[in-house]
Amino acid sequence: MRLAIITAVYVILIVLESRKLLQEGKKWDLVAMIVVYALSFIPVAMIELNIGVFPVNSAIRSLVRRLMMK
Amino acid sequence: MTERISELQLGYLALGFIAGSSLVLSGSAPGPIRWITALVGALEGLLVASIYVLLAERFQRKGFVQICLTVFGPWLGLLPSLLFFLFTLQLGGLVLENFGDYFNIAVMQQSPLAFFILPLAFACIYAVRSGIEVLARAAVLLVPITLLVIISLTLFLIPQYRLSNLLPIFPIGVGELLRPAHGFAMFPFTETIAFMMVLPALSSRRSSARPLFTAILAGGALLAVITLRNAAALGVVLGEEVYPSHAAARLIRVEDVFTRLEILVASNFVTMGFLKISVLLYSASLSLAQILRTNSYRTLVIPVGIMMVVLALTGFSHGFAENADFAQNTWPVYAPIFTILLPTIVLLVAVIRRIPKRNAP
Repeated sequence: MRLAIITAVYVILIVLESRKLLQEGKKWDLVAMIVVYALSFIPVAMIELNIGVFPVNSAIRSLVRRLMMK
Repeated sequence: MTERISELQLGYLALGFIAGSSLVLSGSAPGPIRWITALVGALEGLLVASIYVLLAERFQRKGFVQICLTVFGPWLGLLPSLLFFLFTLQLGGLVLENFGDYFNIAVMQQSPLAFFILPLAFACIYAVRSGIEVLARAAVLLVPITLLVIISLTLFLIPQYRLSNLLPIFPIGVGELLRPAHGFAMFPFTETIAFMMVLPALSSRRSSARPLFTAILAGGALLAVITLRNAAALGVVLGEEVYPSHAAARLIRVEDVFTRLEILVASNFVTMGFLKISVLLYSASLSLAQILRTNSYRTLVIPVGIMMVVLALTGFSHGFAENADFAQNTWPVYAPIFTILLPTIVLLVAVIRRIPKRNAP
């Protein structure tokens, strides 16, 4: 249910932004914006579907610690 | 429409950025000398910031991404540009998480992290979409109020100060002092690399060095005063406190009228955290817009802001303890790759390749 609401919000945001960009004739801006929105949606969907997101900072911490040990 | 900010606005914005989360977080040095490490850290920060200023002076009106694309070419330049974008994005997520952790631990323990992070992220997205001018004007209003609150708290704490708390004055050697000082330099002084995307908006044609260096020195002095105050008021307890400023403000009791003033520390964190996260969000959005060669960064602010929120909520697998360890042990090793090495390489290549050419338009 929450994922459906989030998806709807995403769609509304993209439609609102797209209309403005299309009126100004900025087609490349539109493509870039949709790609970035899609990229930001992936981890949100992963969290909502309980798939789990890779903990970036934890991974960097482990990597640095391992390098310092050597 | 080109956005322009004045030198004064840039100075306030940079000071607010430096104060940011450092107002409540503590360094790793023993309590009595923590203020010295703040000053030494500021000096190291000043040295590193001179690389940013040299780059900004060399490439007038160009942000870091545009500089990378000019120096390395349109394809090879994408790599350092992407690294810069990812660093500002990660740092924004980190500061957002610090903010959420503080409220979660010190103020409202039962509430979930997202409850604190989301409203601030909304405010930052709104401010950044309004433009850097709006953000700079907000800094001119918010930073003096924060300074006033810090001065008031310092004065109210006078009855709690014990000079013996500041002894021994120098319990460790100079060598041991450098490690925590480097930690201070990396957090928050060299994080001002985010301003490489803000400097092109400076209205005056004069050097960007003055406002940036002044802000770093003032930030160093401010953090030194705060850490000295906390050490004098808290004594040995300082080392055990996660948020020393919060703990020190809790001690204030002026005739049963002024009590529970720790909420002022929280409000300072909200305003300065807002400025810091907004600057990072602006830098990340603008750098991504320049990488993707779009006309405006504004359409990318919301998705980049969402990425920051996701990073803040999922960046660490085990919460605050891991976060604190990351700040003290990992960040001083990891951050220099982006804040020192990356700009130094860009500057060296620019000097060797003599870019920009003197007769270039």
